[in-house]
Amino acid sequence: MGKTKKTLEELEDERSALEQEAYDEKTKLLNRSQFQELLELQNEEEPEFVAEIVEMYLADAKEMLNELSKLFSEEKVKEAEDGKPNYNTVRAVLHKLKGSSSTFGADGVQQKCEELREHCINEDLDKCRTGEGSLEELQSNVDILSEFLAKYTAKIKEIYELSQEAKADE
Amino acid sequence: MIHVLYAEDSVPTQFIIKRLVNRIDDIELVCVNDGKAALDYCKNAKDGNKRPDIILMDCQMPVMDGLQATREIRKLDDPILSRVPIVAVSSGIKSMNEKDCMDAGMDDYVAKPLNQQALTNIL
Repeated sequence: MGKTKKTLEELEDERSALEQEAYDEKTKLLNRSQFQELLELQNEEEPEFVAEIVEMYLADAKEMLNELSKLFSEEKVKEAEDGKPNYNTVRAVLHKLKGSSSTFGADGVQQKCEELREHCINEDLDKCRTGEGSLEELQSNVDILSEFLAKYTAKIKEIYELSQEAKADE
Repeated sequence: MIHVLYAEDSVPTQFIIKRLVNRIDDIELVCVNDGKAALDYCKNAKDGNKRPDIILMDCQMPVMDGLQATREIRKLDDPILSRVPIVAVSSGIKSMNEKDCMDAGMDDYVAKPLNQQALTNIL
């Protein structure tokens, strides 16, 4: 016996539940109004829009995290004349990540950027590397967001495909 | 048709803003990746490129930042281009606050994130 196919209503409920999870104050994954606006940009003619934006934002974020990782690496710090990471460059990268995160609606990532920025201002290398407000935490936040967005975009694809099937049956 | 030049180094942000602007009628948006590209675009405006009617300028960009680009644009010979409205789009960096933007010659200042409402208000 095959699996019972979900109805459009069930899928929409699942999508709503995912959104609630993202907008929850405790998880701080996504900003409701900013992300909703992005979702509204997707339509029948561009059913891949949100998936494309997600891919773009995450690729960009990961590139910046790699850059930050290199800037805080033992190698780079030892190379420096003053034995410190280039905090100005770190702050510039953080600023860029913060900007794209705010447009995308990734509030949690934005907040972690600010926390790390504070550690940079205080030139506290240990706190920059691990613990609260560290690069490690920022990376973890991006990973969690990435997992969530994979689930979410898969869900909206499922909804789109089912709604197309329903139209074809009419 | 309003011709808008948007200087912003973040590609995902550019992508999102392009789509938001698509929903506003009679706007043509061109994106560049840094302040120098914005300045060059303005300099070449006489030679075929359309003159921007308004510039949305991200403050912090590589190569040349938004404030420096604004100062350079204000020095251009063309009397219309040198007075093009420039709106600062800022992530709130302390060294580039509203006063700094106005002192550089910008006409208005908005904080990120840009959204549909903010864009409609500006444009």
